[in-house]
Amino acid sequence: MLRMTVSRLVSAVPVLLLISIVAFTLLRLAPGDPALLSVGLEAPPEALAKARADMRLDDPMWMQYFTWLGDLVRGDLGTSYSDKSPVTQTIADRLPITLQLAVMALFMIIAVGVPLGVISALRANTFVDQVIRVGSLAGISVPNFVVALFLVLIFGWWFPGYMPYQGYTPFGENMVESLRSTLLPAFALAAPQIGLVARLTRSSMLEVMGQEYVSAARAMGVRERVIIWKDTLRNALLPVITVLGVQTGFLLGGSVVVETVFGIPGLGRLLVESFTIRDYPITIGVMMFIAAVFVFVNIVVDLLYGVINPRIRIGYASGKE
Amino acid sequence: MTNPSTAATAVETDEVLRVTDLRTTYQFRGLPVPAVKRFSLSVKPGEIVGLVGESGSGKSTALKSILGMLRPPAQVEAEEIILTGRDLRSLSEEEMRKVRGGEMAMIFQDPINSFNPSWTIGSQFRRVLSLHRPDLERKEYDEEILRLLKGVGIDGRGKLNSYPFQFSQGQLQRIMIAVACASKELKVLLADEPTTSLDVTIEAQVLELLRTLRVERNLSMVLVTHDLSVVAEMCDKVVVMYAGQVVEVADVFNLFESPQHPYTQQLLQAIPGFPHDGERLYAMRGAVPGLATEIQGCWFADRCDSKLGSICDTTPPPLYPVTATGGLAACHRVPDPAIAGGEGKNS
Amino acid sequence: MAITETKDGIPADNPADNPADNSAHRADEVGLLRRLTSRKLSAISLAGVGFFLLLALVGPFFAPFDPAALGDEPLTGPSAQNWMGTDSVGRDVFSRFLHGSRVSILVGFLAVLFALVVGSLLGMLAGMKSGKLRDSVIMRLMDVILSFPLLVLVPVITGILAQRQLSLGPVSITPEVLVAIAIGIVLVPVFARIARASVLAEMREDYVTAVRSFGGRGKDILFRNLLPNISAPLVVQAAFALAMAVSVEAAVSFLGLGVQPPGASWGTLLADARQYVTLGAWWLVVFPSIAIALFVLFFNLLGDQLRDELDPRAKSTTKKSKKSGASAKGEQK
Repeated sequence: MLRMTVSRLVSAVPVLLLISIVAFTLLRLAPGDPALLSVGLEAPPEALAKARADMRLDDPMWMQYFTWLGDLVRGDLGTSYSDKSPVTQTIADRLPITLQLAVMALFMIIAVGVPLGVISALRANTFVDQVIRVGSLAGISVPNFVVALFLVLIFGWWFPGYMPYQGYTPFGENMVESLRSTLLPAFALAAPQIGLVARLTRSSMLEVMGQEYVSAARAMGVRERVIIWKDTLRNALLPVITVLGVQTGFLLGGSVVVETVFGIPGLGRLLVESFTIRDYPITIGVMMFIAAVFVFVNIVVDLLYGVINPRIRIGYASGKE
Repeated sequence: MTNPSTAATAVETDEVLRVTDLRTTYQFRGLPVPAVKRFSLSVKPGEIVGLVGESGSGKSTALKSILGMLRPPAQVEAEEIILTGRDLRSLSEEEMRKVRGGEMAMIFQDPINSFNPSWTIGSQFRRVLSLHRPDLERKEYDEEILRLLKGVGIDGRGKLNSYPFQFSQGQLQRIMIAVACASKELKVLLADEPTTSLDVTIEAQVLELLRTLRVERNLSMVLVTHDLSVVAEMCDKVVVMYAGQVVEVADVFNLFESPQHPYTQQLLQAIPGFPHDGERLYAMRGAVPGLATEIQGCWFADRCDSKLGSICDTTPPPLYPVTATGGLAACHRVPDPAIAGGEGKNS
Repeated sequence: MAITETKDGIPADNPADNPADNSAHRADEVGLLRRLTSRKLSAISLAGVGFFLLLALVGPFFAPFDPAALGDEPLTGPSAQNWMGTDSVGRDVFSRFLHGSRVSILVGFLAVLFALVVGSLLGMLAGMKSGKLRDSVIMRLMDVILSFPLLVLVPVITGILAQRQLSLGPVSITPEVLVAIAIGIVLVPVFARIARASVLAEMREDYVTAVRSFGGRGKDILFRNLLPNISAPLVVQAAFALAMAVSVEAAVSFLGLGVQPPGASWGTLLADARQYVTLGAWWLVVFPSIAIALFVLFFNLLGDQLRDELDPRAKSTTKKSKKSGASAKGEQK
């Protein structure tokens, strides 16, 4: 297991380096002169030249990259053009809010999507199955910001007063209110994914139920309940876990629109706001951060996969892989 | 099986398993597809009955139906399915579950897929013991597993915590046989192409193992295969299936010496080197008709080399007794004494 | 008795038992069953797709008003005159919807076309040299693109592209096309991965080995032999990608970072609606939302149908075919 963890972490290094190169390139290619934006349009040319020197913008491109990378490794993503605060600090301030949203959404996805998929598979080709399948497909087809807008329409105009639909109450301030304030956004984020997970769980369950080892267990008189819960579900959930991992990444990035609709000051809002005022260090910093999280979540998923799948685990232990 | 009316006196007969007029229907995209249309079988103690036919002729489905393994929307009907005097159709789901792996067990074609890939062999074996060996204490399980594995020629010491993929196909099939034979009550072993996915040498070993088991435990077996050499080596009696129906039943000797049904005859002709050495290989024309097709007469009529005439297209032939051999064959030619007993006109 | 006959003398493939197989014989058996039962769904999705194509092609000609013309009555609900009501500056929402539909759908198609061409090429190039440096560089780059949040990657790329006045000969590239290319870039990994996986699978097939053993060269193998054989999964994916491209465009434009006002698209219509939702201007939200949802639904359905028809090995949902799929796998060994 340790060997596998190390190997996965090592394999992430080139990807992270590539991510940093792409992020840096985007930062440099993006329109606007950082020095000019930093000192302001009316600044005297000397001040601009000094700023350029300070920011090392006169160095060759590759040197700039390594300086930037060196800062990055030390946890310094640069400073914001607009308020001169460190980007890392800004991200740290906004992160918990998005995390709360993502965790809540992930919980909804698992708690609703997986059981729906299981029921659908067990009742395959019945009325219940049809309803769940059509519902899932409909769910997948409505993008999360459309769900968000409808939720605002419902709770902001048709039935006002039941649920908060604008703004965010900090968790430290009032726990219950805080959770209530992220409930609708979390649902908007979760709704399309619930359909996806339900569909995936269903087809995965059916696939495993058609496997010969399920027949073999049945032929040896194993109880149907045991076959479903112990033989089928565990193996059927493998692909579901992979997809959930990918979705955790998307939930962090995908909350961009939903946070905007509900006025939640999370990472997604930060991303959009910074991009709108062309504060690129923040934009690229957040993108880097989300990309890195995405990579690590995928590593965790891989490892989790190994815990469940002995073939991978043992293959690594004996170095066969 | 020629005489379905003897159901009440089944106890007196020397059959361990008797199935009469089994029909199994699948649902495919909402439409019923009859996979097994007319299937009967009778197995005596210690007897190995071969079940032969092309892929998709319903052999596996018939076995699974007998074991009660099919779930709705698949539908199984039968006049009787009698195992050691008990009609399995009258059993509750729970009683039926105990029969599976208890008195009757089944092994499959692909050993690696017969085990759950994410469990150790030991844990899968222990689970079966906990279901079918009430005589054992939990702590005695591992000892018994090693003993059973030794019985199939596998030294299981230190391997119980290994996963299926760490064994070879041949080893896994042996282990599967050991698992299937774990119950002391076992009377009938249903083997669904147990050697198809094995190498020829391994196949011989596994077949030998099955023969030993038959002798040692007086086990009866139903051996599904499409390999006629396996039939010749292993079986006492043969049931030939075509398109979901039994077309011929015969002793193994009679089947090869004087096949009655044209399908059996053509099947035997298609074997390289048997019986025409050095000649061009015979290939049966056409393919098995789809299960959902509506056919009035004989299902084999379209591919038959010795068709009689319009009767074959209009009237489905019942299983006629073959007086010369004591077998059965579903062909209109059988009752005609002029043709019956012959090898067909193809030679 | 030296009989080693296994299967050669016995024609396999019972159609009803093996619907995943494509013998001519089964075409009239199962093909009929399939046509009977699933045609309804195919027809629905095709009709839906056709409707949207028509909407994109001729919709704007039916616009009763100039979509940019300001009116005197802002924020009125649907009426005989303004079928979808008016927006905050009194523009006719129906006219804007018709023009916006064309933009949204065109952007979607352009993006997918770009991603399909670039992605398939990259994926095939990677798959031909699997395990080599070229493969790792291409595929790691795809991983990188996938790991950035796409809703911001799209505007960043658009911003970078927009800095230079790009033009294709005499045709100047409009901002909408830039958005489409940016979305296309983000979708490239999807096709690259599928193309690579298909190539890897095909390379193991005997016919590729055969071509190679005759001395066939990489390029020939790629375009003459591989491309026709891996096109099915790519076409299937294109349908799903269209659904995705359109919803990405809508999201990005909704944030004000895609199609820019006064141009209209489903996303900008929703962006205009955002402030007025809590004032009860439901018609601003409902119509574009339904259009987006239906578009995504129809193309997802179409993708499903195409997958069943073109790429039957990939996935099918009935229990029976699963079973035969599993046994078919077993027989291949």
